[in-house]
Amino acid sequence: MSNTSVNHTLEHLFRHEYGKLVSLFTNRYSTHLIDKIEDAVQESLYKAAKIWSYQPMPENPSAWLYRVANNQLIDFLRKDKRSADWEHHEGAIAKSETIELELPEEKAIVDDQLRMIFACCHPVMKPTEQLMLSLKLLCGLSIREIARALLKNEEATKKAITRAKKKFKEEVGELQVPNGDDVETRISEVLQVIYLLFNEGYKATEGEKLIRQELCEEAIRLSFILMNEPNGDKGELKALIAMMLFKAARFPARMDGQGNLLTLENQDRNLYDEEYIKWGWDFLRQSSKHPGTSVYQLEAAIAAYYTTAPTYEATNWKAILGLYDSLVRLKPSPVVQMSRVVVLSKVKGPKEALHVMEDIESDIKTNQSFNALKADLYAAMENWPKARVFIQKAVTEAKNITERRFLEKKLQSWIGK
Amino acid sequence: MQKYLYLFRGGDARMAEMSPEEVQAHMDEWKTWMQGLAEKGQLIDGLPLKAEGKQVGSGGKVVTDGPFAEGAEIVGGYLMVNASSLEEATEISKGCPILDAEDGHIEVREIVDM
Repeated sequence: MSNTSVNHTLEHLFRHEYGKLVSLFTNRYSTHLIDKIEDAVQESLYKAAKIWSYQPMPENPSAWLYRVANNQLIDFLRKDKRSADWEHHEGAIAKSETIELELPEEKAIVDDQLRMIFACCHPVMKPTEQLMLSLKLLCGLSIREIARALLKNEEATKKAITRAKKKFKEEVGELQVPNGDDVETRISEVLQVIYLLFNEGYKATEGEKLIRQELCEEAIRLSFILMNEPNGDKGELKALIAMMLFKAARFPARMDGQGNLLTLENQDRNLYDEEYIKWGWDFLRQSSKHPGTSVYQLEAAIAAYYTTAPTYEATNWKAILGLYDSLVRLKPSPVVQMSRVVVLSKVKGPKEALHVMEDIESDIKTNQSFNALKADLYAAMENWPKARVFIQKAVTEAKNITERRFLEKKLQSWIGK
Repeated sequence: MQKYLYLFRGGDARMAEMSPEEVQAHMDEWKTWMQGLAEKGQLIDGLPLKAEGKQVGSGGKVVTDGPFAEGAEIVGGYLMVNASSLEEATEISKGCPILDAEDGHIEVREIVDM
């Protein structure tokens, strides 16, 4: 697992050290101290950057950062005597005097992060709050980076994170990996957050490519940490990992030289990451050893067919349609329904696909992608007047400039046909 | 070859706004720059300085705390380089990443050769 290995890589070292140390201190001291902990870790990174600019990094940068951050934290806690959280400060200060100042072993650090994942995805928080808090505390992204990655306004992001942190401090309590009856529910909630995180990064229609791709990498990293969870069935998790790997394998081929997004049919498949594909198969195979069929498994299998087809034309549409037929029963979301229609049009032709669209039109709120898809299907039937009507509708409903431009270009090419 | 001293001031305010990733990127820029100097045989020595310090005067009778200056006025680090002239030393200093910060500043001084 060279480049997604959980904790060993110099690339994003600071970002990941941030997440590790914040998890470690929150476990050791208290969720109430999260703001002070974040400040102390941040401070240790500045100090490190200053010294390491001039001198080579120490052999074990993590141990150095840990020591400096811990001292900084205790210093911050001592100084802020008027804090409303003073009792927690005192508790932490007392505790710091009794424990060793050695960086815990890798296993303990991973367990701390694991508990932190469950805390950030705690059910007292809304899904977006869980997502943002995970990015902030576990992945070490700044508020500005989170806003940029999720295409949100910075002020709104800040407010959401402040809200989430308040709940984190007051309602999450002691960090722990859930056990007993609710373990499966809690795990599936965490999987949802990871899934959301990955998809936010993946649906890159606009925004900065790099930071969005990193969301996907973080989703994969967190899921690898989750593999250390001691209880619970791992079938869904393995399937989710497989899905992410198959999709992430296409990253090197998703942009052309000018930075324009390339759709599946225009990608150079020689650029796909074979290592990721290999792992994807491994995880998919492993996931199928667990009982039952999960949504993630179906999505992973679909991604596998798309990614491993020799060409776009040679994609096994029939097999994919079969998977979508099952998926749409388990998860009848608009996105799934529309994706199924696209595949259906490949297998049974656009006319049949349009019929299905009429059936689902009453269930799902139509939007620009719905109308754009309809337009494509009419175009495939060479019914240009209708195709133009729907593409026009889609243009007026487009949510951002990139999408509008894309649709307008299409409309122009259809004029006069 | 003559020896020159760079005194670095400022740049910290910007750092406080940075995300961990950006802090690391900034550090990497410094390392790359320093490595370049080392490879060309220009780098002699250098280290960052803590903000805390003492001021000693009046024959050692007066000792006060700290440089007591604004962040941008405190010397945050130094570097010694080899260069053939003050002009060359100045030119070399222009590659320093501290200059990316609005308040980043370098004082270039020639070290007197005894």
